[in-house]
Amino acid sequence: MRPELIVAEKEFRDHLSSKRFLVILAILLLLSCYGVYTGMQSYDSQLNDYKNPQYAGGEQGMQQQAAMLQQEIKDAQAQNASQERIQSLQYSLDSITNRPMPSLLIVFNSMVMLFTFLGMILGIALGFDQISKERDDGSLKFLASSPIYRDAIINGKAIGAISTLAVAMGSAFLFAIAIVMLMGVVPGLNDMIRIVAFFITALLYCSVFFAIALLASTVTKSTSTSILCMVGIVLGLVIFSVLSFLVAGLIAQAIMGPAPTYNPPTIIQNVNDTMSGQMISYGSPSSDYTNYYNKLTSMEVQISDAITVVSPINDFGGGMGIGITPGLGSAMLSKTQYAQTFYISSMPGTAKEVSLLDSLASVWIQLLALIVELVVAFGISYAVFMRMDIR
Amino acid sequence: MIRTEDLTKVYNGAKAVDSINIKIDKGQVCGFVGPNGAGKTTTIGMMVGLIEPTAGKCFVNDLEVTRHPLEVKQAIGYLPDGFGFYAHMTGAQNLRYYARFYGLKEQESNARIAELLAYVGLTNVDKKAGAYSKGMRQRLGLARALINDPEVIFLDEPTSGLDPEGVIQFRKIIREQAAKGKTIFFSSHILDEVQHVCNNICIISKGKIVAQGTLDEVKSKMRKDRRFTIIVKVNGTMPSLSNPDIVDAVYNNGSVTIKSNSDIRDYIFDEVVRSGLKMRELRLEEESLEDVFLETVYGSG
Repeated sequence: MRPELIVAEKEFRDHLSSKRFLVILAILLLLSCYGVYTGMQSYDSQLNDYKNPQYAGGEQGMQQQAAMLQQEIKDAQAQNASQERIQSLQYSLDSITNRPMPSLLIVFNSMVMLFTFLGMILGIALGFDQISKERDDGSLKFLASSPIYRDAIINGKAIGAISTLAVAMGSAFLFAIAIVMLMGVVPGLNDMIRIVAFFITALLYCSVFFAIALLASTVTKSTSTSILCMVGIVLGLVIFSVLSFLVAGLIAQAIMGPAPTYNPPTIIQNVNDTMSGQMISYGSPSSDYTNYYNKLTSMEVQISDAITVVSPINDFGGGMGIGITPGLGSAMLSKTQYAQTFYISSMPGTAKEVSLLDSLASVWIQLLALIVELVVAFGISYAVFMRMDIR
Repeated sequence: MIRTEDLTKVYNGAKAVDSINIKIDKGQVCGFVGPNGAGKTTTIGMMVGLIEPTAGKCFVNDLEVTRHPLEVKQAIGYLPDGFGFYAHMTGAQNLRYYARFYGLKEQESNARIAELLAYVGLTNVDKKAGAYSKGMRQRLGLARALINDPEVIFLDEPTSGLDPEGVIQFRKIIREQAAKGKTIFFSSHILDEVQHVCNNICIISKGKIVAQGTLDEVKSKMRKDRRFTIIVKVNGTMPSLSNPDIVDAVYNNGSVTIKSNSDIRDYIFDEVVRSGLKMRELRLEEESLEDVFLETVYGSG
């Protein structure tokens, strides 16, 4: 057997039998269970809404809204409005006239935030003492004086830890699928592929934190320093995410200049809601003002995303690590076109179903960033370890 | 068998090991002696491939360590200073893990491990290595160093922290390995320790080799201006002696302790007889290696 596999096999066994790993895995599985359960409730509720749609103003209100949107599209086309604007209106019309069936994938949505935090902890827990503990205990001297190249040691440790992470992710995946099936829903092939893709990206995300923790373990002189270093890095990343959003706001404000004067919306139509018996007014907001704030928000998010692309938390979990703007994890679980509709109403949101590759393409920067972070962190650990004097 | 050529290691601008040249032939048991911080562990670290030399080369079996690390590691056994084992594994499990790197097949490895555990007195010890006493850990460490039946054995302070019985057992094992024709390089900061088992000695101080050779060779090399201590006792008041070779003399009624540059016992005898006294004791006291070592390395007796 190759020496790296001998090291990996031992590491894998050690991790699987360690209390630290078992506790984190148990928490991960329990929270996955809770997440899937609440996700199923939300899915059921959305399915009910889909079967019995409740429109403001009833069926008549829906038709009036559709007619209004059709008119707006015509007007926009006549006024040579931007393609984005026309597309946005068409998607809005689609979402009223041709509502998509709720996706089973929403069941897994809560797992994005769960994995963002627990995956990070799991990755760190497996990596922060990989080298430093062996050095503290003195076992590294015996290991490194064995007839194996140094890279076999660090590669073996990485293989062992990533295999362990794969087991953790696989267990959570199987657990979640089992719960969904027990609740009487069978995921389709397309859904299943996306769920698997989500778990693979979650594994990549955990591996990034493992590599960063391995780096801390390699460059610091003791395990206690390594763990302190990791706490510092995590806090730093969280603070960085928050600050980047604030800084992005200031930059966007500086670029966009002062906001135009606010004009109250003009009421273009009054509709009598048959359900409540109340009069609902549809208004058109001042377009300059709305456009300004749409562009400002869009710019803020884009600048913030550009800054925080260096943070794995943001890459996987989205803006500020809590999904303010979606990241890689959410993209894998979103069957419709991945768009930042939550904040950026000027960007097209769509009900149109897209392929997994399209979803991946929409977050390729985050995916690439995670891969680069993994390679850089592991590469530095590797280089430092190869030249390290073992005393 | 073991050779270094101007081996140097610099840490933060300070030379921990300074251009040392060591040569140990096959079958020799060489004691590597020096005070704490002299550069012993760093030198051994470079010899076994754990520390990269800043300059110079070291060879084991005529193979340069930095160029042929695997071949060298395959041929050597190493018991480091301040080593440890995987605390959650038993002694046998620890040895089995390391044995796999030497390409030992399972059956072969099990037989070798059983043999070694019996050899170091750890048969039937099933507890985890984390619960071992210092002595047990040291014996398991020796078993680990011998797992591949190495031709060259490096032992870094192997007896430090052991009780007297443990030290005796250790010396016995080293002698047995030496009798099998193994080359042993054995570091210690206690000269007496080395004198018991080594036929060669190499003294290092402040990163430099002070002396190297057999015990007698080292003694004469280290004491170039050899001095003699002569103890004299007579049956009366000792007469004053005035030989030009006398460096120092401490008189005390009927006795005197003389330090001289040559053996002047004949002169002393004649002087005592000439004074009409009777000689009760006339003895030449040779300097021990320990004295020479302490005076050379530490600068005092």
